[in-house]
Amino acid sequence: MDRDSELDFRDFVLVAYQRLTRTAYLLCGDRYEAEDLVQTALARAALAWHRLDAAPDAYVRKILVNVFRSSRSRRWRQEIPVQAVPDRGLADAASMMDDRDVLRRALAELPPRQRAAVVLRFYEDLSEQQAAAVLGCSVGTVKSLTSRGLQRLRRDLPAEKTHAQPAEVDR
Amino acid sequence: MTDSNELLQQRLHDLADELGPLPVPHEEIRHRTRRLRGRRRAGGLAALAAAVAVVTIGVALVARPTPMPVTAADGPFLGWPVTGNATGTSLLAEAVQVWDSTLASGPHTDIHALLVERDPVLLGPVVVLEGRDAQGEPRLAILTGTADDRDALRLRADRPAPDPVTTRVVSMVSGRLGTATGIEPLDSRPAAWLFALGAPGVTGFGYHSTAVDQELVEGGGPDLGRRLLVSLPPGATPINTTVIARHNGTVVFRGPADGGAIGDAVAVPATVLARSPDHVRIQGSPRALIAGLLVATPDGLLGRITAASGEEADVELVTAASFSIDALTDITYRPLRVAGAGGSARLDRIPADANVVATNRIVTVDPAQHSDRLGTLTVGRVGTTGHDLVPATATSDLSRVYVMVEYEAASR
Repeated sequence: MDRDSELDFRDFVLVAYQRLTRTAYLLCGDRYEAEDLVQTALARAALAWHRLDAAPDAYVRKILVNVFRSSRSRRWRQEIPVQAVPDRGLADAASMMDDRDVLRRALAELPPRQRAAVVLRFYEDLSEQQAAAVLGCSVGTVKSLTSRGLQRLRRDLPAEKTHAQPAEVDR
Repeated sequence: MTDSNELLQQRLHDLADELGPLPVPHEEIRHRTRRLRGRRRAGGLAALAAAVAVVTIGVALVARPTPMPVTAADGPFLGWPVTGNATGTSLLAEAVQVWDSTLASGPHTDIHALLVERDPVLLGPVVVLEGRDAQGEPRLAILTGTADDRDALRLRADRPAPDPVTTRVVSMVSGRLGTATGIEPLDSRPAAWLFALGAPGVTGFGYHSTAVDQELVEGGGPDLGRRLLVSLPPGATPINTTVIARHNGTVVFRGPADGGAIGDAVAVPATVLARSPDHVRIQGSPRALIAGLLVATPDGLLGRITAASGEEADVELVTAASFSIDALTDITYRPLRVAGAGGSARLDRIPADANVVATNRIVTVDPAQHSDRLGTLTVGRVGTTGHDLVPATATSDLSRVYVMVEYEAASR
């Protein structure tokens, strides 16, 4: 990377790091893992920086989601979907009251692709076409993933906390 | 967009904002990029690398690396010239005033600065001073701002001045730099910080902690100068963190960090005299050998002192049948219990939803830390059955251990 590219990349990281880490945090649910995912994605982006166009956000976001999905495909981290968010025991009773904790747990129960679709659509505010490009699938698949993700969120979140309707995802 | 979708969006943003502002780890990203580039090149260049290696070895046999310059001691003090981006500002006077007023050891004389810096990302001001205390003893002080108030300069360490001839690095690892009081709020995400200042000639640092599963900058990090300040996960402590200093690529120092901050548990060294399947007998300072205190190694928890007399004490190992301790899953902090089983250890009271699987790290709170999240000790890793524990510390060839003592007790 020449000096101009390095400065460009540094500026991009400065601007994008907080947002990318937050996206990663919603994907994986852990701060340190989120930072690890983002740093890995940015390192990969740095190697391809010289051939990226003027809007590298989409490229980096795609790498980030791929890194996240790869991390979840490893056997030792494989998630086991369950029918309902399990009880967490008395030690977490206080935090159970926290809306954010409830949402974090509900997100954690979603399979990685559904979680990614929900986060891209409702946190990153991507269109279905943009989300499809990031996930490397068709628009129809994004609709299906988002719909199923929202259905599960609605089931796992308390009734009064359920907000989005699967039928309402076409934006 | 519907109201319900907007509400979900808002809740996702609320959850994401839990993270708060994060330091941008340019150095870590650069390191990962270099490592990744190296891996990609490795395959195609393997044959070439082998040939180059032969040539390099040949050259190395006849070429001498540039030696690190030696800085003469200044009496009992390090003779290092002051460095940093804030030399010549009022920060130095402010630091001296804080040092003089914080402890009863002041006012100080013969003061000179080794570092006067304003860190733009993590802690704000960072100052390292040497001087004599009121009794004339040479001391070294490290002062920093805090992660939550980067204008508030606090005294973090006040130690005897290090050996002025042999010292290559001054360092500190602590999780108490996040707030002015050194106590992290319960709703915060805990972290530890590693600070190091190298002697003139040090061109870069590496670091590693056994408390962290991810690979840190071991020895090949970029050369960014004599000063290192990075954040680490909260289990990092001086005994489990290794600092590596380089001079133009040559390692000139490798060792554990010097110590923690004021308020941190102090690791008092002790020597292993004898060992049996369930116990080791250690020798150390009588002030540190107190029944109930935990004993650790750089790899994690060894056991607990059960009996002490004078300079010797018995340490019950994690695997002893009568040993048990409250523990936590690492990072997620789910409570469980570790119990010895006579030559092995097992996990009890595992929460049904804890998702404990083989190789997960299990930690315990160090009572000497006065914190449930900082400086936790690794007890071991979950074994293949999901209910057995592989202890963090092996006792074979064990010669040096550390008794974890409260800061106040160690300072008396």
